[in-house]
Amino acid sequence: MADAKSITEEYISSNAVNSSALSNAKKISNTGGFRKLCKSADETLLFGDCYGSGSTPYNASVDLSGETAVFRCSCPSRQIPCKHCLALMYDWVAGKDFTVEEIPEDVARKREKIEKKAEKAASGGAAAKAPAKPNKSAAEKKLKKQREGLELAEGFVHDILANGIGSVNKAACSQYQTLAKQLGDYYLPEPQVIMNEIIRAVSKLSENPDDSEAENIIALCVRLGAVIKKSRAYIDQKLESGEVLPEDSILYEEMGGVWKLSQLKELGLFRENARILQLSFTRTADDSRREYTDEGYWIDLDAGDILRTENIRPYKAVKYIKTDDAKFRLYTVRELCLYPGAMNRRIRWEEEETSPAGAEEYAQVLSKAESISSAVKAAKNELKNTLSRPYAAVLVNFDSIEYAADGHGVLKCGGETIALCGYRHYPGALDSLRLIAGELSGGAVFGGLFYDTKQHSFSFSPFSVVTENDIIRL
Amino acid sequence: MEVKNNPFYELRSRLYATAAAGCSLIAEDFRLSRAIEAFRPMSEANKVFGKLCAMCDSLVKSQDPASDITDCIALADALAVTQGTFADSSVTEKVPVCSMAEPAHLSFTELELYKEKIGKTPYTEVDFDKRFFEVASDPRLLSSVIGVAGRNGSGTADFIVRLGSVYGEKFYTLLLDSLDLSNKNATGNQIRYVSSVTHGLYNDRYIKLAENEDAPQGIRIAATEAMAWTPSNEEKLLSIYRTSKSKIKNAALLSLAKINSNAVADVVAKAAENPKSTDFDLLCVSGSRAAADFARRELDFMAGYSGKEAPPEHPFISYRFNGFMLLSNKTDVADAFEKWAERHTGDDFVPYDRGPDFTSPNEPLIMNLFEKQEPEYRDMVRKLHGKYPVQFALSGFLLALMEDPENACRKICTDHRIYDRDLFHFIQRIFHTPDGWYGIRRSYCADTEDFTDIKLFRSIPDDMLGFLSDTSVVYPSDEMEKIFPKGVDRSIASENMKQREYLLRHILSICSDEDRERVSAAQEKFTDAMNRRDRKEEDENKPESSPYGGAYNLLMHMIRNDMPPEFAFMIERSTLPVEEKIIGLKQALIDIEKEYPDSLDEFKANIRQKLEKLGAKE
Repeated sequence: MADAKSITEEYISSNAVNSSALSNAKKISNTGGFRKLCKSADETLLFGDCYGSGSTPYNASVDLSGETAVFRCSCPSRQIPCKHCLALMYDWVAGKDFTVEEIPEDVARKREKIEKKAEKAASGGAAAKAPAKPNKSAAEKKLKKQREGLELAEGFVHDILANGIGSVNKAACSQYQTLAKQLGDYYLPEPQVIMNEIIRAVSKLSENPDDSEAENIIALCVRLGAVIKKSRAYIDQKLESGEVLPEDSILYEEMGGVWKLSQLKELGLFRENARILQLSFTRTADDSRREYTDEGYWIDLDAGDILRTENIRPYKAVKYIKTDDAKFRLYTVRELCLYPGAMNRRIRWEEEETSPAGAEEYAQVLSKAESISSAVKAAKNELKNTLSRPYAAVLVNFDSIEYAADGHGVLKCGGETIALCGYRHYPGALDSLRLIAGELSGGAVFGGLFYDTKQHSFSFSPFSVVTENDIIRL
Repeated sequence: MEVKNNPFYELRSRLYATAAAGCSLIAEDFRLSRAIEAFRPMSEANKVFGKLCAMCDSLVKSQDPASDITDCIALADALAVTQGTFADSSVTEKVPVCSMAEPAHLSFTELELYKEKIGKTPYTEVDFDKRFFEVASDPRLLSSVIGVAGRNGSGTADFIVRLGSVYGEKFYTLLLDSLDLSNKNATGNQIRYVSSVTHGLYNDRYIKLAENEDAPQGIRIAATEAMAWTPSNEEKLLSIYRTSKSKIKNAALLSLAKINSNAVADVVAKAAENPKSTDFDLLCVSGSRAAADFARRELDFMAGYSGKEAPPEHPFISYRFNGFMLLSNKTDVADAFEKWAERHTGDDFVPYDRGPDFTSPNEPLIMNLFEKQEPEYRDMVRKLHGKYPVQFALSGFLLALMEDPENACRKICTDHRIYDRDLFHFIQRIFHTPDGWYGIRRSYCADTEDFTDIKLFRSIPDDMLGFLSDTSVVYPSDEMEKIFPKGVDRSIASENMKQREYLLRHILSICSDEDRERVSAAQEKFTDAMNRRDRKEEDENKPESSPYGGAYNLLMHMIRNDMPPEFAFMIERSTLPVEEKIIGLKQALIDIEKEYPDSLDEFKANIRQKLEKLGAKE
């Protein structure tokens, strides 16, 4: 960003740490919280005094002179940018009067420091960054520990399946909870999460018996069983071969491993100069994992596959981790790292360039959409894997969206049809789609294909609609 | 396909059931064995089915079935997925085009913020900014709006009115299209709003909904009420009246009475002859001669009992009824108003210092002005106000605002002592809609489901600003006693100053960007005059200053002067920065808890509520 002219509402939202910071900032801006609004002559710095709960006003500033914006404020908040900096930008966007003033001395000093740092980094950067050597013995030790932990988890699944869900009473639950805690010591966070989910579901079931919940518990046990078996085989094979470092397998993550971008690059799991466009975005809260996830689905305009970003924010650290948000521009990523997997692979990157998305890009997205039957075929291949996610995200062509007498929607394409269903992570999507369905005359719908175990059929949950001119988020 | 695969699905569900029950006695599970046997023929036709069958066979004989069953279930699940179908053969039709929906590029944070605000009531003034009304047509926000549109109270009416001011007909159509006929508790408030703005425009829809016996009662009632906007609905209303029961029947009766249908003349006449408390609304809405005569008789009766205890059998002598409302919806009852006014005319009139004196008799006239289009109603107000300017200043001022807002204040207020409170009464109901218009609400508070309002002007008239910033009402406090020897006159003068300060703040908080400078100048002018006077006397009644800011000072002042907690609304409406409000409220709560640990519960609850509204915790 070069100067304050490029500050937009979207820019402010994308920089906010969370929605409450944004809403508090709006309140400050709407009620004229800033008593003094100033800018530098070149408009690279906005600053002002805002009255808060302290006896003296807070000095907030937004410095846009560098490659990335720097937000400074004298308030005690640990959020960056704090609500005062956001409010300052809202005031700017609202067109309030900013008087031209000299850059404050402390800001000028800090600017100088940053410049010096950057210069230093540029001069000695190449020599400084030697890739860290992977520690093979530590990796081997970890694998062995994990192998031990898997035995504990297996015992748990075995107990439940041998004696039945009914046998798990309160005392057993608390024993299992202790066991689940122990799994943390064995570097198995993912099996630990499944185990906790099972324990929680079982205790809920004893209070309120329900067949579908019982089936869900068994499904979780089967999943945990599969993770244990596959992971054990994976570890054994690695220990035998001596190739103990992570490889291109979903099991590494399934056991709770966290990929570093450098590891992914080393394994060749990256694409160069990938052009990606976001198709949908949502935020979810997972109480078992005690974390929020900002989840975005993207399409690679050249490869045509659907990818996903996950910004994970543990409850504990939520105040301090920046939230991700919906993106509407075309992203050109120099090195797009891909996680192991088949469909809807997770992606991450460090640097990108963005440009506005237009009709050309939307046309490219539309060209990648597939028929209902071929999407279902791909989904079947993915979902039959016990370790798969609950749905397959696909982009499906459609001619029209119509509604049955009972109110449920049906997506139609050629001679094919599929029922629409709701998904809790996109709560209002069906209602939103119904509002625009009358006006849609073909295009593509992006969403999740779910297998319904009761109906023995697939249904489609819409997340967004792609037309020639736009991607309409639902 | 489904029938063909039934043994497979049966086997799968048996595997789940066995796992849930525990597989220690799997060899004796005859249901599972039977399912495996039923599945066996299928397994011969398909290799993977064959594998599943073999696994199940060994499962029942296994020494460690708890380990093996997960493999069987995993395979059965994978097979179920591959067998899954997707075609939906339901008979479908297209939905009508919703012309209002216009997708916008909203960040998720912004979207969630707005959605949360839509869903969380009561609404505060700063909840919905200019930007919201620009993007409210996004389908994701619209579906949230639809979800709350029928809700009672909590500022919903105000919110709906604001949205309607921007999106007009598209919004009305959407509200009617989105009525949820499957919701038994639907209120039908959307119909009340749309019909209050468009009157009979959607009459065909109202008829359809009112006649739809499967529709929820609330919707049928609202639709039947809306049918009263179209007098040609008489036959249809009559049919609903004859064939329906309870509340719908009553709604049809009221609508028929509203359009003065002869068909219910007998019912009205009977009610007028032998009234019951349930007949009050009927006698109010009817413009018939019988109802008008009854209203005259009733007012005479009430005048006779004024101040005395009424006979308990009389239905309308109760605080629940404003007897004057019996004169509403009637054009030929000026004589009854005049008769009342005559009784209240005299030189010894002493105005009330806190509010208008004659609210009750003006109420039916005000209601007519809000709801009736016929010129006779305006003529009646004009005539009454011309003859009795003091008694009908309230309705006279509303009419003046509607017809000649540029001169309304100076026309009505010829004496600050007498008329100021009548003007204040309406000025505080003025609100601004995002389409740039100022309107006036029928109800005082935005927290009711009353959608009725009148569009007034696009810019605050200078006349009104002149009235509010009129410094001739500012008296030096050390001369107050000399100028106003009577205590009541002193209170009136003080109130006139205080109310102006409050109303100027209110107008400043709601005014458009274009008006802000003028309003601000008017406020400054008046504040300057107030500051120049010696506030000695005022200071006794003014909040003490403290380091915790204006909100705190005001609250503590209210407590020390035994003011009711409801007055805390002044904090909400004040233009103090939100943070100052929060700090003040928090500190006040701490101090009140300390000073009054066992009392002032209502006050404390009110402060907590305000804090919650401002998004702050205690």
